[in-house]
Amino acid sequence: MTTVESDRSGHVHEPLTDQFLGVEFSVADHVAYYAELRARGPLLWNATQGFWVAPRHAEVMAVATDSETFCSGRGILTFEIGAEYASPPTMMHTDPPDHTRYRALVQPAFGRRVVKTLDASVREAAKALVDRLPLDRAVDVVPPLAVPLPVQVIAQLLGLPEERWDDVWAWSEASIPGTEIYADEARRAALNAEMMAELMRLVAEARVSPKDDVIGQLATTEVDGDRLTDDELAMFLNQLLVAGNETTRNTISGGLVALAENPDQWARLVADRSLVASAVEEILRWTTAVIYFMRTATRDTELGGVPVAAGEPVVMVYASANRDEAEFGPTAGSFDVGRSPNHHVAFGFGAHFCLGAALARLEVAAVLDALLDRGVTRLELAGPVGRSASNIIAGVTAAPMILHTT
Amino acid sequence: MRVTVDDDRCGGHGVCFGLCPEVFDLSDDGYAVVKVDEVPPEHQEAVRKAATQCPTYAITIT
Repeated sequence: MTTVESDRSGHVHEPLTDQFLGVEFSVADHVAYYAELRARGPLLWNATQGFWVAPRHAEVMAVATDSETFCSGRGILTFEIGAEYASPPTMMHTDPPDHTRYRALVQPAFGRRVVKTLDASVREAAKALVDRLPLDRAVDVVPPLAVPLPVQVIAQLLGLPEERWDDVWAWSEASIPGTEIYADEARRAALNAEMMAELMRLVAEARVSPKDDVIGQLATTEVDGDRLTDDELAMFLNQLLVAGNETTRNTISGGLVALAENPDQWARLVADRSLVASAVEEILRWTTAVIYFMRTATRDTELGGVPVAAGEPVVMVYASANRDEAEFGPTAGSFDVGRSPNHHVAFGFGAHFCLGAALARLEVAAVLDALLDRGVTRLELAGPVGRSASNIIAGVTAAPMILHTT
Repeated sequence: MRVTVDDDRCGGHGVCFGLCPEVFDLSDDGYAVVKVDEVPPEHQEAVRKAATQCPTYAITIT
């Protein structure tokens, strides 16, 4: 039995929600922890900092698809509660009409046409990396595959050549709390300055002679005579480095771990390549790279039968919603590459749905296809899987495995 | 009520399909298509929601 206390709001404190204070989990088994959260109820209060936690699929969907009642402008992570922003730090922090404007200006760069033009080069990049992996002996797939692929794709989006890939990697690391480079303050500052200078140079170049790539699109897209300012564009490219990198990396490594832990599911892919698309969706559901984002109620409302007052933040636990038996049925806890329907929320949902979703899906599919092309018949774990302690990003830091071909 | 999806804007996010699979479908390459001429009254609210929650504002109701 846990101690029950309540705060000024009168809500009862649920100690399990303390995991969402700060930036680190102290639970060993995330899946069991999420199951416990869902069993406790549709909405759980944290009195320490004053926020709700929504662990079930239904309430996550209700919050995500009602951006009028649940806004993003007052922070999307619990450590932002109480923060006041003069201007939104990222597009993810904006609400309509600002969000509508940003989205209209950046979406064409991630639209169907541009992603299609990237298809061949993303697949080529994945194939080159997979073809260099050793077969039939242990290899940690994180450094030679999961790390470089998203970096190379982002470098392509920015129009940077191969000799700059290491720079892109270092800039990205310097933007992500928890990395070795980030911890080195002097190095981080130097890399940040270098990155912003380079991004501004790319922006200036794209303004003068835009190519038919993402940066060219961003530099030239106009909606009703309006376009992104140089600062906005550079900020957005910076966000791209963070949002497009670590999430994709962990989805790739986490997905390969899942396929190693479920050899029957890899066998299904070997037997039937048409399952790759649904396998990608299942990997997204299973790994859920972003564990949670937060919204804040703009008015008194109700969620899962619980009254929510204006000003109260709500944490949408995507990673828990994606294992909810109420949505995914009795097989919610099984990894099924043929799952259909699969209404996962790994990209969030509603107006803030991941901008790079099509690109992420392409990268994961390209990895699976490249491994199948290389004749990998079975993936087998060859040591303990390393997982990060972050309560924001579900990080896989080490994924040692053997890629069998016999 | 009629509804259309702007192919150039659609990002293939599937939000509309998730909110109202009776009216929206996804093409083989994962982008939204409208599968009815006239939106039945019982789905009009879901379609309105899909239009406001579409991440790329690709849905137009007429």
